[in-house]
Amino acid sequence: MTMTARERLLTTLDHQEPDRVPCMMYLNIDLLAKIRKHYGLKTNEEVYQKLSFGGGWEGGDMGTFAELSPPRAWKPTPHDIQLEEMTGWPKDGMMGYTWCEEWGIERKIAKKLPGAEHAQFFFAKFPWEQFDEVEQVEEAEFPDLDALGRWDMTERLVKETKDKCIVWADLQHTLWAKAWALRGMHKFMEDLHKRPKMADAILDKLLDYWCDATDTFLDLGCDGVCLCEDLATNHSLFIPPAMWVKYFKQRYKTLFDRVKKRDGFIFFHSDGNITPIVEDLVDIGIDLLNPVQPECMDPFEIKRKYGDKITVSTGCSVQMTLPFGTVEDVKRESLYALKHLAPGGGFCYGTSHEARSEVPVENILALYDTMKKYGNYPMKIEGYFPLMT
Amino acid sequence: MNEKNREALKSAVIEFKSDEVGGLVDQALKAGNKPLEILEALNEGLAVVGEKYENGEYFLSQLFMAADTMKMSLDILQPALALDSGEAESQGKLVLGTMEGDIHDFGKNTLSILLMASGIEVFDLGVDVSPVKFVEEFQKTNADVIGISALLSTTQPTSERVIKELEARGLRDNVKVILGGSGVSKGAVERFGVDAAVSDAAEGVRIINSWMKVNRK
Repeated sequence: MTMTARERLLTTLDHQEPDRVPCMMYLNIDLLAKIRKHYGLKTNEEVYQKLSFGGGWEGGDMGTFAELSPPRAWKPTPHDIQLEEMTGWPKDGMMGYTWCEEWGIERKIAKKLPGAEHAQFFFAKFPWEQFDEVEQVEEAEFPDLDALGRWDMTERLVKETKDKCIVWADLQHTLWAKAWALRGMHKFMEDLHKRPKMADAILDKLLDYWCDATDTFLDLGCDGVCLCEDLATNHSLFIPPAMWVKYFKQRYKTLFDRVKKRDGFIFFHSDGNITPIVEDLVDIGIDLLNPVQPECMDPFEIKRKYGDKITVSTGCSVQMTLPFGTVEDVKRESLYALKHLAPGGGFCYGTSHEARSEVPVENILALYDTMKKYGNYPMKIEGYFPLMT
Repeated sequence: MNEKNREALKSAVIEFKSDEVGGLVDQALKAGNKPLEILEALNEGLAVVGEKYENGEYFLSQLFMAADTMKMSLDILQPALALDSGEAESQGKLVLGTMEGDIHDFGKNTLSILLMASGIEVFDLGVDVSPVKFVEEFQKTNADVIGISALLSTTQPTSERVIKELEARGLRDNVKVILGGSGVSKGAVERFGVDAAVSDAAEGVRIINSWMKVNRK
């Protein structure tokens, strides 16, 4: 019997086999345009519908992601408008995204590449970079959680999608990633190594804020929280594992305990190779680890060691196979993963991160065609699938 | 330079004692040590940091802290090196930038500091740099190496346009090109025609230094 995306992911998180492997879908705006053109579709929702076996929203089976909405009284600045136009974030899509930078972090936008609708952006100015005193951190203001309209998106997504899929409270950059976005990467690294009181003050301030926000997200009906922390490069963690344990482990646990007390789930996203701290993350109660990028970590080892405690959400490589491989490479990598990782549940598959404009349409279609054909439980995949190197 | 002072300078970099390194360099200069000897001691420390990073003992924040310590020491040492003409000879030249369409610069900046510390002249073009600009800067500076930083798979293929531009101007054999970025794989050498592809700054430093050594022979 076909499950809803909600039933599918709940079954997966319970380490049982659902009807098929939940499908992760993370496609950037230029790739979506290429797929629309390929199929003659008008909207991105139609693309998601077509690729996600009827799921029909950004993210595929993984659910919807409720962010803090801008206050209703918020007026976009020229920079906000420019960011929205240049980066192509949809204003009226399922997620209802409207660019709103209330933290004072400024972004720089790169030139668009030929033929692209989407331009890359990155943090460029950090509002706390010049802070010398802990008191300055303590006195800094964060976006008001009680502002009128702050919970509009959450209320809408819970109402419109919770019967179909999991609704995550999207905390986005929470502790590590928000701390350096406010302080600057270099300055925050110096804090961690040389100014522990400053590092503690920043992290405590963020933790308090996200604990408060989490309570409301859960009050309004979210099923759990999603953190996007990006703790590592492909090679290794940004900071030593012992330093991560010292500054972050207990703070994450405080937040996670709050969610667990209310039977919520923890979706933990980090780019790069975070292998040295996966055990710590499992210890403090994460339910789903994403994206376990195959070019950075070994998803097979992670599933073997922790597969009875966490759901491994990984995918076909967006750094190598999807952009630079052939259709056959994509099929082989997907089949190999489905064959070895899917049995027993606790596993999601799709794109290993955001698939971008350089990915050939035929490769992305090969990924989802393979999932449609071979991603059904019980797994019946035979054969040997050599991987792209 | 006596062994004790040498070790003190070296360990200041390894243990990123940024508060102490300036004083140590100053003391070593006042004691009559040659600036180049001081630089060598500091560089020995930096080499140890690079090894520790590559074997997984050190992490990026430690690499950065050590590079920052090195930069602070160079701020004090540079005038003495410049005065001591002949000793401050350039170890090679590098044109560096983040590829057009991308503005990530943490890896590029770390590489830049590490190379400057090795005595290499770095012409940093910043971020979002067009292929033509890389080549023009190479022609202007007569650099030994072009370093392209590209975190995103989206912008990695643009490195091929640098190669094509060099070929079109008949300059391809005059310069080595290295592509770097967290998501860069070795396959990029064949894919885009660059001479080396690396996924972290420490490996990039090692390769660029080895090319510079060959050029100096």
